[in-house]
Amino acid sequence: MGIVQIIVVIAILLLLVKPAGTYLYHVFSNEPNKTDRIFGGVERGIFKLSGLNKREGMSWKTYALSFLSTNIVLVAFGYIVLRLQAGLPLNPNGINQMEQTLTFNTVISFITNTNLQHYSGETGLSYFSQMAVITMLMFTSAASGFSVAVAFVRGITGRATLGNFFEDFVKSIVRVFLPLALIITLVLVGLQVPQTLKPTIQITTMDGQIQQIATGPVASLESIKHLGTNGGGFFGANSAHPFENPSPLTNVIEILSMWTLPAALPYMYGLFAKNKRQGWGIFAAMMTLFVLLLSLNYYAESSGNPAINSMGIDVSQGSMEGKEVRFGIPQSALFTTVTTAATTGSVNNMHDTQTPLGSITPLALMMLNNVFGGKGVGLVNMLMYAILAVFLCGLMVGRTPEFLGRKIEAREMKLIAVAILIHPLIILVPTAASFLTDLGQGAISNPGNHGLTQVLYEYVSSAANNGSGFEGLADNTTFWNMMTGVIMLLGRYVSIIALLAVAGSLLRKQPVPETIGTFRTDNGLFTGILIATVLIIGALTFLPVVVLGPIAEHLTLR
Amino acid sequence: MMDVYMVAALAAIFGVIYAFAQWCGHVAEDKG
Repeated sequence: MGIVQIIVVIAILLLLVKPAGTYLYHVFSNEPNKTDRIFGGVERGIFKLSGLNKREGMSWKTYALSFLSTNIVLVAFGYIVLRLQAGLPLNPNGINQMEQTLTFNTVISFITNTNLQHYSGETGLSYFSQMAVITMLMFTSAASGFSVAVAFVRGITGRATLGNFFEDFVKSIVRVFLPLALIITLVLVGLQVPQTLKPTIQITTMDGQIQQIATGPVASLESIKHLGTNGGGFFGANSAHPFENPSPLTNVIEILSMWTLPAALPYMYGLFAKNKRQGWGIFAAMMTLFVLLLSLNYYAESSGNPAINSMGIDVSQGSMEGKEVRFGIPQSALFTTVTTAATTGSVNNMHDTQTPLGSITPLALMMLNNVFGGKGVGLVNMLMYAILAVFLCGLMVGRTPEFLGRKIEAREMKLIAVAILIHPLIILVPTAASFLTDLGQGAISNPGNHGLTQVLYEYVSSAANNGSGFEGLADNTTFWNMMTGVIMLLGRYVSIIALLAVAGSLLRKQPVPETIGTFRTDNGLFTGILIATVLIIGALTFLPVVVLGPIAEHLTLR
Repeated sequence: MMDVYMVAALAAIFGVIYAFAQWCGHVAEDKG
């Protein structure tokens, strides 16, 4: 029955991919279409208000700097509000201002689409901060990532220009995120997710104790939290909290909310390339890796903890530690796999208490960072691996590699090498450095192999802009706030800027005609080569540290 | 005072990222 639940959700996703991808193509192709009639007026008003009457195509560098400068302004706004929230309106629970290093970490976390939370929403943020900073950054960081992905696709498919960042940014919000968020918010409210500005509820329990029950504008945050692959919860327990995710039905809605748009982007790419098979090839590679890692998590969690099994305790329900009974193993395993594949980072079960083998799934998905991936970034990363695969095949047959009719040369490969190597660099070096200091080691709550995994997970999650955590790590300290803040920024911007440069470089090249000797990138053979490239280049880099962490821990439990 | 340090840290990291963008421009030989 559990596998049937998972298959049904995947089947629904497959039905949504084509219409969603087609809609995204119409939004970003900049060709006149039906969506203009609905949203054109709103957009023109925004463009007029912001002085964007002429929206010319940008060079890759102008596009990148527009993206960067917009994000810097939003960071400044967020920092000021969080530091002043005690005196701002909509603070019925009297929340105090946020500490400086935590503010530093939080604004970086949300502008980079990471949503790593070293605070608990119930006690750390006023309603104004939840709406004006957190929810606002959930829209804008997702729109930023989406814009970059579309620009990259335009570049490699030979459009006239990369587009205009500000136009893409506004379109992402007005035509994609706002309408979808509005619909999903109303659905969630209908399914008992709270949406209120009333203060914390105080009740008397059955044994006479006073209990505070936090509430607030949850549904409006919950919708964009998943649609934008953000992942930051209104409550500390995130989507395990019954107010954020009250039932198996809301669980499926939240899974599809975070999965549909990243899964639809490859189809959109196929439409841009005027060859849908290109898009389906990328999608097939992503789905193959997804199913492999989902199977590992489902098997490991269903099998239970080997140490508990050996005590003769009934484990027919699997390893339910840290999981919600209303979701069980199937919907917990699927949520974990989707939230780390789409780099959302919301959790409906506690990843720190997953079995060692089960925890390899979220770790591996964040290490690869290209299996569907966060808003736009996953597609860009997978296309980066596709170009690398073409390059490696070109080396093997002694022919100048071409991708979509453009030659791949040394300068593109230099930039791609940087984009690929930055990810393990900003994970493995800080992980090792943290073990050299008491500040790093002091946060570990579970020494040994699991402690290594706690530290590794924190940096993998930060670098992949995921935001989930092994929450046994005591990470709200100056050391962790600063370290993860820096890693999140580098993880977000270095690869994006390098790949925009690749797109700009490819766009300037004259297309070469396809011949009988051209290496095709729209068939099953290339999909297989792409999967192998991702596993050999991406996964093998991290194999030693995975052996030291979860694999060694599994062997000690047997 | 701590706010000044945090803002300086943010400025420094974004400065490094900006310098990286310039380096990418050099590699891509794209004059913008």
